[in-house]
Amino acid sequence: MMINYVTSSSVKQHEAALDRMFRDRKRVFVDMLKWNVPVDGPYERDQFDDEYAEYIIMCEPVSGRHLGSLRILRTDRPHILGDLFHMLCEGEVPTGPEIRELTRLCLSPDLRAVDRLKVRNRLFTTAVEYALLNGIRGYTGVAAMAWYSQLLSLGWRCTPLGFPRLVEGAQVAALIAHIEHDTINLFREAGTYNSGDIQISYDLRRAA
Amino acid sequence: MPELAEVNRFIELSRKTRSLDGLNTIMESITREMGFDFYALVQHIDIRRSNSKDTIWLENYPKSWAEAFVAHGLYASDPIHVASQNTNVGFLWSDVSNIIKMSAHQRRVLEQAQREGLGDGFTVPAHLPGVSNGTCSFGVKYGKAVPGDNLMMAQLIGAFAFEAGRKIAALRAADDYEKPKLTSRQLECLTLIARGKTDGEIATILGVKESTVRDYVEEACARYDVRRRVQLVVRTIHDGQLTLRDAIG
Repeated sequence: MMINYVTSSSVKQHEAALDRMFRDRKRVFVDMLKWNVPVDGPYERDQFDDEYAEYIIMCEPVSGRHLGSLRILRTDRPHILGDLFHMLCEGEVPTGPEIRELTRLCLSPDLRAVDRLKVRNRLFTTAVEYALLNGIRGYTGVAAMAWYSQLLSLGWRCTPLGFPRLVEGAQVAALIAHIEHDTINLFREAGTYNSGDIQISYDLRRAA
Repeated sequence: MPELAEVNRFIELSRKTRSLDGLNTIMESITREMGFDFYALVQHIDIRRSNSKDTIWLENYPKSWAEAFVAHGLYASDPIHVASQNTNVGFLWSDVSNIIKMSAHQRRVLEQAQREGLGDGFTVPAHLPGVSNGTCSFGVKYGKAVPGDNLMMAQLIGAFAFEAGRKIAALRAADDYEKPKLTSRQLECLTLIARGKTDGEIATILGVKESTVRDYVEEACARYDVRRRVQLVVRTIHDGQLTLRDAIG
């Protein structure tokens, strides 16, 4: 399994991976989960998929098949929690250069259950490693309650930003996952640590 | 009105506690603070049959009800548990008939719970891939109303409580397993068995009697509570007393 870390400066080199990710995002979020999100032809792509958006994309090395992906948004710019769901925060929306937002976790619908877990763990482990290398102290996010429990189960220290609310028929809530010196160990204890291959560190260094 | 600060205090305390007793104290306190009387943090397995410590079973329900629950194996037919399989978010027990079609037996289960003093309540399901389903429930005494303003707080507490319970259960399971210790002579015999040597060959290599080799191996089997040598080899490789390199030679 191969991990690509995509920033605006590396879009060209990852065009195929991005194309497959946006297609799978449509399959998952629009066709299966029926989310009310913008559709762009065969893609699910919204206003936050701009030149500032970054992605962690996992592909099969030979076929290039999309296995899973995460979108990372800056919080000092327009983002989901700040612009669309600020009512989920009891206090101020946490923002700043050391906070990012994780959105659009997409696991390929073709994966078997056991592989879904592996891909999920690999994506989040990569997100933690990326944060540690880049001085990011927290990831905010909005999650439906089923996902909320899965996010907690990754092992990292999470804090709720507000109480759950009904949004378009689904109960959702905002939370922040803290990235700290022991976060990798917490993942290890929870059995969710799944570090990537050399491709990750190479790409991360380029990105930093 | 529910306060997020209270939820955060609960999260901090529950992260720090390393024992079930500690978690029970914290759960009882937050249960009362929210205006409930009882709580149950459980995974849906038959605890009569499961003797493993890595599952969660923590509650302060009326004693007679909890005992009846376990004794009659109600985990399988309890309408609250059945309903929790069909939803991802917390629900009121009084709404269960909207989630599942209740059988006469299931209605009797709820009536029996009421006779034992358990009234209405709120159950938060916890479905995690690769983990037995569980729930965190909060109940009130029969005749008392559930604290409607605090249900979203209960939803959050339930999610974090399940995670805290899972961590403690995992720690207990890890502590519970004490590696049997083998003597260096027993390990030498085992290494040679793994390499395909007979007792006679081992006796020659180690310069001892064949019967002594047999004694060493039997004692090692006893310490691991296994009957056969192949089990012994697999177990010692699994727990790291013997490495594959030792075995391959």
